[in-house]
Amino acid sequence: MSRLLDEEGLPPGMLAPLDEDPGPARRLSRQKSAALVQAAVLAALDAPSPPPRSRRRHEWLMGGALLVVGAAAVATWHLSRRSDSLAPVETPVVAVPAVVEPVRPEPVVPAVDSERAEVAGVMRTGAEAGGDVERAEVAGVGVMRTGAEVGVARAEPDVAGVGMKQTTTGGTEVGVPRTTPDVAVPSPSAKLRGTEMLPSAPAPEDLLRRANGHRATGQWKAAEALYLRVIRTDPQAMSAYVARVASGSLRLEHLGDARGALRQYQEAQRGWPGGVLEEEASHGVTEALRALGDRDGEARALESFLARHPDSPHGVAARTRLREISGR
Amino acid sequence: MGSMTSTGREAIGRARPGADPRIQAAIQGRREAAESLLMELLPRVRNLVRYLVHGDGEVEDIAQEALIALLRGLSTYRGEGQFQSWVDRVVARTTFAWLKRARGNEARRVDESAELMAVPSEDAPPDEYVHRRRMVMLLDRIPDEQRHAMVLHHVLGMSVPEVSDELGIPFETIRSRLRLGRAALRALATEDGGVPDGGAE
Repeated sequence: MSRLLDEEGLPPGMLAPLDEDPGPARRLSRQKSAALVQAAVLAALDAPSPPPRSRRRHEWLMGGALLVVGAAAVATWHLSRRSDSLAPVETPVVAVPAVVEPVRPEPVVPAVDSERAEVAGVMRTGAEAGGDVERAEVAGVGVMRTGAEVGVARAEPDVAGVGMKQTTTGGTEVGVPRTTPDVAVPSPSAKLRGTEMLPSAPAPEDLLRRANGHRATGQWKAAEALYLRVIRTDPQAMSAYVARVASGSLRLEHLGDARGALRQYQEAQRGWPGGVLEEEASHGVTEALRALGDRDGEARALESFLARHPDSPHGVAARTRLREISGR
Repeated sequence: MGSMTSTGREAIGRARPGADPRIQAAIQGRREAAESLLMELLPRVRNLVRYLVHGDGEVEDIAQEALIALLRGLSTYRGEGQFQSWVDRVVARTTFAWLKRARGNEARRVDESAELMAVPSEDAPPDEYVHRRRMVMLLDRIPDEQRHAMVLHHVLGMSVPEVSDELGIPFETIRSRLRLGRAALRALATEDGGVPDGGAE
C-alpha cells in the first residue's frame, strides 16, 4: 500500500508498521494460539456456510414464498369448503393440511438461530479446549529481531544523575538479545535535544541495547554493569524497570547472586505495581526464593504468582512445584 | 521494519498467487494447510485487532472471527498485491463490523484489570514489547474515529484516499481526524512521561 498525501507524520516509532512481532496484543500462550486457530478452522471448514446475511435473506425469501403459497392454499381451501356446501361431491380437502403446515414462519427463524448458536458453541469450546503445542510451535513465534526493527525509541523522561540506592539483580529471560543490536538504530541524539541529559550521555535505550549485546556474547558482568547504569540514570523511568528485571534474570541465572536477584525483582514489583513485566518479576521472585532455599517464602510467592497469572506459561511448573513443597 | 528471519513469514507476505501452496490447499479444505497458514498469521491478526479496539478483552474473539473470515474469503484473494495487505483489510473490516454490532448493546468491556496483568512474550525483548503496549494504551485514550484513521494510515500504511475509501468517510474528514489524532497522541505521550525519538520536542 502506498503512503502519501499526509503532510504530517508521527514521530518515528510511535506507531510502527504492523508486523508479527509481539505487541501490542498481549502475549498468548502457544497452546491458546493453537486452540484459537483450530476452532477457527473447525468453524470455517467443517461448517462451511455462505455469509450469514445472504443466507438469512435467502431463508426469509423462502419463508415469504411459503407464506404466499400457504395463503393461497388457505384461500383455496376456504373456497373449496364453500363450494363443498354447494357441491359436496368433489372435495380436495385431503391436500389442504399438508399445504397449510409450512405456512407458519416460526420454524424458519429458530432454525437459523439454533444453527448459529451451535457454531458459536463449537468455537468457544474449541478455543478453550487447550491445544496442540507441537502445531503451535510451527507458528514461529520466537523470532530474533534485527537491529533495524528495534529502531523504536522509548517514551521516557530523561532525567540524568538522580541519586539512588543501588540494589540489584534478578531476572528472567526478558532480555532476549537481538541478532544485530547496534544496526540501524536511530541515534538518540534527537531525543537528547531539549532534555536535561548531558550531550555525551548515552540514552537508556542504547545502554539496554548494548547490554543485550553483551548478554548475547556471554559477557554477563558487562551486561549487568550496563543495567545498573540504566537504573542509576533514571530510577523511575520505564527503562530502569526493564533493567531491573533483566538484571534480576542475569544475577539469578548467570551470576549466582540469588539474593541480589530477589532484591531486584522486589524493587521492580514495588516501583511498578502491576507493570507490564509483572509476571516476569513475580516469577523471578519465586525462582530466587527457591535458589535461596526459602521454602515457605517460595510457597507464598508461588501462590501469589498463580493467583495473579493463572494463564502463565510458567503456570504448570509453578503448580507442580507448589504441590511439591507444600504437600498439597 | 527490518527483514524477518522466518522464511515462512516471508513466504506469506510476498507470495504471488499460488506461490504459497498452503493458500490453495486451504481453499481446497485441507485442514493442516489452513492451520499452518493461520498460525503464521495469528500474531499479525491479533496485533491489528488490538490496534483497533479498546483494551484486550475482545481481541481473541475478534481475532477468531477474523480468522474464520480469512479462511472463508481465501478463494476471493486474486493475488493482486501482497497477501498480507489483503489479510489486513479482511481483519480490519471484520473488526469494524464487530465494533458496529457491539455499539448497539454497549457491551464494551473495560479491561483495566486484565491490562495490569499484561506480560511480555518470552520471545520479545522487553523494551520493544513495553513500548508497543504503552503506545496502544495511549491509543485507547483517543476517540475511535481518530484511532481507526491513524491505525489504517500509520500502522497499515494506507494512503489518505485509501483510508477514506476503506472507511467510507470523506477525504478531508480523514485528514482532519489524522491531524487531531496525532496531536492527541503526542499530547498523551508527553503527559505520560516522554515522547519517542523525534517527538514533540
